[in-house]
Order: sequence, then C-alpha cells, then structure tokens
Amino acid sequence: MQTDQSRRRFLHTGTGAVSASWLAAQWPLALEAAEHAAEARDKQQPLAHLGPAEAADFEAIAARIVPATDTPGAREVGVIYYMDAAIGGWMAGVEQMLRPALAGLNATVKERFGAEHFHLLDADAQDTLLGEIESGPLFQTLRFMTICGMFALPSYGGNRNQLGWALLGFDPRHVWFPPFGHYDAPHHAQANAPAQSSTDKKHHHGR
Amino acid sequence: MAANPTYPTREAVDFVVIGSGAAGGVMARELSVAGFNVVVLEQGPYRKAQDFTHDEIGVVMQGELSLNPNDHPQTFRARPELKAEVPPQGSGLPPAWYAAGVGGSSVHFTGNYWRFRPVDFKERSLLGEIEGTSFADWPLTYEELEPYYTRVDWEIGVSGAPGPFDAPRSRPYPVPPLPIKSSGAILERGAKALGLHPQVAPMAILSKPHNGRPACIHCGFCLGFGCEMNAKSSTLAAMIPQAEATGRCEIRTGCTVMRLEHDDRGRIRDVVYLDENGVEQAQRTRAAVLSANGAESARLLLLSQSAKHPDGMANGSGMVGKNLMFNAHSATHAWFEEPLNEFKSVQCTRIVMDFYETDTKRGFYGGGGIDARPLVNSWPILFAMGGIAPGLPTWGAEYKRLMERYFTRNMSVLGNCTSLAMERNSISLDPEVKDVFGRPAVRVTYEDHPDDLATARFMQDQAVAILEAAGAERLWRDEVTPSTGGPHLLGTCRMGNDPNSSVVDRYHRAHEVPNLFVVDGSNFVTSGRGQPTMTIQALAFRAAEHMTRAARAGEV
Ligand SMILES: Cc1cc2nc3c(=O)[nH]c(=O)nc-3n(C[C@H](O)[C@H](O)[C@H](O)COP(=O)(O)OP(=O)(O)OC[C@H]3O[C@@H](n4cnc5c(N)ncnc54)[C@H](O)[C@@H]3O)c2cc1C
Ligand code: SF4
Repeated sequence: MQTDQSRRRFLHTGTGAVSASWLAAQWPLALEAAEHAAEARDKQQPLAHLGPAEAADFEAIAARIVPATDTPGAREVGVIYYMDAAIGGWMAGVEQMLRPALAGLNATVKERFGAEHFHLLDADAQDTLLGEIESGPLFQTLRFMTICGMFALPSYGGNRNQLGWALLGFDPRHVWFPPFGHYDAPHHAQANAPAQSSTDKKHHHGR
Repeated sequence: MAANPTYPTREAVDFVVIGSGAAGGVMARELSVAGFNVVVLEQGPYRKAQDFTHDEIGVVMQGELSLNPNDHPQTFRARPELKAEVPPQGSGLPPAWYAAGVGGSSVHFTGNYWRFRPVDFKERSLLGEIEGTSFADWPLTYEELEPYYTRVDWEIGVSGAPGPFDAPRSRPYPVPPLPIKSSGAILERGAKALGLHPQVAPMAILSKPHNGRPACIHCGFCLGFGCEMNAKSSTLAAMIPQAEATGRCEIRTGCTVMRLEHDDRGRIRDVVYLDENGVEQAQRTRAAVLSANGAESARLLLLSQSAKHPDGMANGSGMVGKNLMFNAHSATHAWFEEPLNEFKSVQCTRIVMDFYETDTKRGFYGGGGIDARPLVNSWPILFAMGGIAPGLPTWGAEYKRLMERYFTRNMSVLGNCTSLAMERNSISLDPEVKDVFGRPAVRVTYEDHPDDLATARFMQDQAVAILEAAGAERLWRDEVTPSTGGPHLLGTCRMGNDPNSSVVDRYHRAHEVPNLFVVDGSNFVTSGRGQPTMTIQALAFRAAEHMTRAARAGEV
C-alpha cells in the first residue's frame, strides 16, 4: 500500500522546519520533556521553558487556530504545555526561527494596532494578522504544534483529559466490536440474523 | 521453548539469513524446522508485541520503526543523468521505505494479502514486448506456486473468502473474513451500483484464533504500527517464535551486514557484519540467504565487490539493482453524511478486482485492484494536518467544525497498480553520500513508465465513479504524480533462467555463486497489482523447500 504521498503532504503542510529526520535527532529528549509537561499541565504549574509574554502570544495564536466554540479549544486543552515541552525539548531546533518571527509579528502589532503584544489584540485583529502570515513558517510551525498539542497522547503535555480527542469523536479504546459505523451496521445485523437468504449468492462472500 | 543457541562465529553454520522481514522470517523458520543451524542477522532491534504503541508522534512522525534517516540517508533522482539528492528536510519518508527490526516491514504493514493470478506470471507471452522495458515472463507458473500460497494462508495466517475472479485455490482460507467496516460497505454499495464485483479483502490478520495466536481486537492502529496482540500476521508473530522454538535458530539483532566474502572457489564463506557494539564480526557459513529487501539486498551485493566480482557479487548480468518497481498508485478521498468511524479496526475489508487485467482497448499496459480504507486519516494528528478537503479552511472556527464533523466521516479509495520493469529504475550506490557506517547510501533512481501513471489515473477514475455511486457528500483526488519513493521494493535481483538477464535462478540461487540465495521482494519479474508480500512469502516457502532438498543432497 501507499501512504507516503499523504504523509509527505502532511509533512510539507506541517512546516519546512519540521521533518521526520529532524524529529528523530531530537528524540531522546522528547520523553523526558513530555513527562514534565504532562505533570505541569495537570498541576497547572508554570511553564518550564517559555517566558510569560511569548507563551501568552503562542497560546493566543493556538487559540485562533483551534478556537473555543461550544467545545474547548487549544487553550482549554492545554496546548501551551505541549508547546513548552516541545520547544524546550524535541523541537528545540525551531526556537531559532520562532523567536525572531514572533518579534517580527509583534513589531507589526505595534505598528498597526499600537499594542505591545499579539495576545493583547481582539480576536478579529488577531485573525487579520494571522491571515497575512498563514503560509509562513511561524504560523505553520505553530499550527503543527497546536495540532500535536490537541491530538497527541496526553503524555506529551497537551490534550488535557483527552479533550482534543473528544472533539474529534476519537475514542482511544483498544478493543472494538462491530458494528463500527453507520454503513456497516446493517451488514452485521444481517449476519447475526438466524436465516440469511441472499439473492446475490455468487458474489457475496462472508460476513 | 528450547534455549536459544549461540553459535561461534569462526565455525560454519548451515545458513546465515540476512534480514528477518517478510521473507527472512519464513526462511529462518523453514530452515531451522528442517533441521539446519541458522543464524539470522538483523540490523534493527527485537521488538515484541508489548513494545508497540499507539503513539502517533513516535511511530508516524519520528518513524521509530524505521532506521534513523540522519544515520541512514538515502538519495533520489528521477533519471540516471541527474544527480541524486537527499530529499529535502520535511519531505518525510525515505525513498525506499521499510521497517527495521525483527519482522521487517511485515510488522507495520497493512496486511493486504492478494495472490497473483496465473496471468501475472506470463503476461509478456500474452501481450508481447513493451519497448524500452524489461517486461518478461516469470520462470514459474501460478500452478507451481499455488501450494505455497496455501501455506502462506495457513501458516502465516490469512483471513478471507474467495472472490469471483480469484485464481484457483487448493484449500479454503483458514479463518473467515474480518468483519466489514463502513468503508468496505460503502465500496461494496458503490461498486455494485456500477455492476462491479466487490469482494472480501484477504488480510494477513487473524479474524479468529489460529496457530496459537489471538484474533484482531480492532484497535485501529494497524497500518504503520506494530500489533500489540500478535493478531497481525507479521513474521515476528507467525514465524520467528517457531524458528526459535527449534533451538537451532539464533537471532542476532543490531547486526548490520556490511558485505559477503567468498573463498578461492567463489563460494560464500563469511558474512561480515557490525555487531550491536559496532565491532566487525564475520560469521562463517555453508550458505547465505539474502533477505534484506529490494533495496538492501541489492546494495549489499553491490558492496560485495571482489576481483572475481568487480561489479558486485553475483552481478555478471549487470542486473543487480536494476528493474526497480514500486507499484504505481492513486488515492481518492471522500466524506459521507453519517459516521464511518474508520479509526476502528483494520484498514481494508473490501476490494474491487474487476480492473485487474490489462485491457488493450484502454491503450496502455497495466491493471490493478481497488481497496477502501481510512489511509492515514484515522489518526488524529494526521487527519488534522491534512485530512480537510482542499479549498476549505485549515484554521479557525470553521476548520474546527470540519474536524469535529469529518474525522468520523471520511474514507479513501486506493488504486493499487502495476509498474513496468525498466533498467533505468534502480537501486545503486550513491557516489557521495555515506551512512553512519561509511557505506555508500542507497541511491534510488525512479521514474514511472507513462503506462504506470495512465493505469493509476484510470484506476482513480473508477474510484471516483464508485464513490459517486455510493453517494459521497464530497470527494477529491490526490493528483497522480510520478513516484518519489515507496514501500514496495521489487525487481532488483530478478529471477530468470538466463544468467545474462537475471540474478537468481528459478529457485533463488544466484547464477554465479552456488551457495548464495536471494529471497525477498527483489526477485520479482513483474510487479503484480500492488500487494506483493503474499507472493514474496509463497516464493520463500518454495525456495526453502528447494534449498532443504539441495542441502540434504549435498548440492549447496
Ligand atoms: C507501511 C507499509 C504498508 C505495507 N502494506 C502492505 C500490504 O498491505 N500488502 C503487501 O503486500 N505489502 C505491504 N507492504 C510491503 C511489505 O511490507 C513488503 O513487501 C515486505 O515486507 C517486503 O519483505 P522483504 O522480506 O523483502 O523485506 P523486509 O520486510 O523489508 O525485511 C528486510 C529486513 O532486512 C533487514 N536488513 C536490511 N539490510 C540489512 C543489513 N545490511 N543487515 C542486516 N539486516 C538488514 C531490515 O532491517 C528488515 O528487517 C507495506 C509496506 C509498508 C512500509
Ligand atoms: S487492528 Fe487488529 S491486527 Fe491491526 S494492530 Fe489492531 S489488533 Fe492488531
């Protein structure tokens, strides 16, 4: 089978700065940092790596990528703890790009809106600015990290109480039984029925 | 269970098996059960069921089941006149993608187990020459291989039920089909509406306990992941324990084979490898079985140069590394009204084989099979990264709404297609890039034949028609573009009767080295229709039987 096309696409849309090989190089750091982040998230402890202002900006960006609606968004799911652990650990390489890029964004914030920080803007202004940089490395890297912080195993620091998975409708159970979904349900009902009269016997194989 | 032996390196064992993947696992089991002393050298680690996880970051993004690409770079170019480059950072998978560890890629594969049909072995005779290709018949027939397909069914463990176009089989499947999933039901509905003949997908996954192994629990982390239940019929689960139970098979992991060395008579005498501490060792042996896959077996032969074999071991024909085939493919994605929940269970439960054979009316060579599956969109992170239909928002409230609605409502249909063998497509040694051990990197040169791409596009048109007939709410195509890599590594040590145009004979013995056997995906003469491993293993069972007979007769 072939998954590489889709995976390549994913890694491309991910960000130029993030690649499988580069993650691999950082790997030994990952587990230790993740453990710390998960604990910090659960105890609502301060971040280990990011300063308060930059953390507030990153979290504000994440919260526009996956905003709170009638369900929790990136902020509520604790994505910032994932980001803190990742930037301080297995994604340390992106820091060199992120810090100056954020400074650049905040320079625009100041120039256009007279505020010191992105996180101080209202949501509309934030969306306008993000719309202008959405194809750039800062946004794409933060999008990638937001998604990981939403949907990776909670042990990586984000996905608090599996809230990220809950909004997808993903249930991390290991054991499932049919029916699995809407479209296969009738087949299983039929298979469980006592007598089965198939009009299409020749090409109908096994349930 | 018998204690694992530890053989001294200076005394010859009967067989060294290099690589413990889909083919190597079968060889290790068959040869040790037949009574031979066997050393298996595997470069990756010995992971067991309990070591596997559902960790998308570790397994999918970091690729922890594969070699670290920083230590083991590969290079790629489309054509021989171009300079090959290491793919840019961010392009993800290596050009020749495989898992390293006991069980090889059978650990993380999907488990689609399609037999070839009789036609696959003799298409060249039926269709004639195709200019610019090495299109040829196999030196064996379906009928010869059938008993070994049956052994794969029963001994590896394949679930299924026969389909209307299947080749004849001598024995039913050992276990019934896996329960149908929504993607399978949708494929069935759409295909039937078009008058096609959807059938059960044969899978190397147990639907019921068999051979002391448990049934699948439908955990959903199947493609790309190792099975925590031993229900997926990897050689790790199905073959290696039986090899070890003989007390004659020693599995040495973390051991990377560097080269094969022959004696004055031209017979392999030592298999030289770096052990887990990086120390060079040489295992003396009476015979060697190279099962390192279509990329690494070719590389190893090319690395084993000597005065007698200046262009690489067993390469008098110049065919070592040539004729690489990836199997062309196409992917089409769709959203539906109601939940499918494709994050549950195995990838595939139904397939459509109506377009298997070459139809000259289409105007090009090739055919394939169609399957339905979640692909990578059953994993939360990958779905969020790339699962939203093109043109729709990828951040913000609407993006979130789409994720909430369609994570459970998406599926894909794949076209799995032929690739034509061409000498210009190859595995060779990169002249500049080296791996962590100083070996020239695997260099992949590959450009699909126009007919391969035409087949993939044709198959995509069929997929679109099926999904439309099934009532998809929205569907979109991944554009069919030339391959830049793949997980099917076929053709690079092809088998044949003519030593001038093939590397091994019809029993996998190297034409030029009597005690060297190459048994893996590299032996393929044609590519089949996209699921090669059932045939790789049928060939392995057959090769082992022949080697056993020859060794007992003193003819190895
Ligand atoms: C994600 C994925 C999904 C797939 N799904 C399917 C499917 O559904 N159906 C199908 O038919 N096929 C599928 N395949 C392909 C299938 O896995 C391969 O065809 C099959 O595993 C090849 O078998 P092999 O024995 O030739 O090589 P492998 O299984 O790759 O085994 C080779 C082994 O040799 C080891 N090795 C290599 N070089 C050395 C060395 N120098 N020293 C020591 N050890 C070495 C490797 O580490 C590896 O363990 C899939 C592949 C992938 C990657
Ligand atoms: S879906 Fe079944 S076969 Fe696949 S990994 Fe899970 S339990 Fe194993």
